[in-house]
Amino acid sequence: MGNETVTDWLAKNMISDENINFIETVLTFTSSVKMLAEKQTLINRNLQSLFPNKKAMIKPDLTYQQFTQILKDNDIEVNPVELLNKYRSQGVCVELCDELLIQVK
Amino acid sequence: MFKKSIVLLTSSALAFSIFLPFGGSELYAKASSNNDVAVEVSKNDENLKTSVIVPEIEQPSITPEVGQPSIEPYGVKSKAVVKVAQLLKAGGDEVIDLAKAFNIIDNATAKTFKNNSKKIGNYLDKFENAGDDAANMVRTQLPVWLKENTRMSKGVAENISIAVAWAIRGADWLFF
Repeated sequence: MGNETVTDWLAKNMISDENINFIETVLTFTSSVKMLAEKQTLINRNLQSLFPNKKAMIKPDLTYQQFTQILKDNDIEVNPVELLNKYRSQGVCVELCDELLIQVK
Repeated sequence: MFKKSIVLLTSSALAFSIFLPFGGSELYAKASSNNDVAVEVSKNDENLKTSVIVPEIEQPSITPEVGQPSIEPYGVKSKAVVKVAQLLKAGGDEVIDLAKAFNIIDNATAKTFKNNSKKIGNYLDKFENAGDDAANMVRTQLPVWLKENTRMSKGVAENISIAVAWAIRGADWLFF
């Protein structure tokens, strides 16, 4: 169990490679837009071209609610809290994961 | 007398038209006004050879439509992969420092990434013609290659791959 990465866990939960790539792009692009707010439009256009069939809006102040909605809108059935904890523990987008997890009631 | 003159004249004309072509010179059939092809007939000691001269037809050049990417023999060039590979081969600071500053990866991952930067940059060369699929292919294949070719843990290999895929996907607004 100790060797299980976040990708292993997602695959075990029947999340496709395309959706794994999408989730990671949302997280990494959201982390990026916090430092590059002036490029928000360009970043969103980039996301659209990478995933034309997906619905998401990248914004610096993304909330936990909005993040779970993104997963729902794209039929990604995974526990958002567990997902964020996995990425956080592994060392990916730690600050963003912390920000989102704090909002969980 | 007059009849004899006519016969002489006619036979001379006939002889002239028959024997002159075989005097060793080449004969060119006159092209009719509707015919674009010249027919060359030359006499050889043994045979009569004929060859047909056909005007050269220019082959149409195939150029991509305006706005379409150029097509390489083995796929579409990914500018982003080439750029990220180049930066990693040069030591990786530009990529890794940004990945740290943007909180994509933690310090431990960044350190291992830096130590393997050139190796990873060289590995990325194989994806330079992968076009739009490059980032996804790197994300899938790089962790496996890192596990087989370095001593890093599975988790760190995966984190580095997430960072490299991020750099490729976001290259336009990160590095250009």
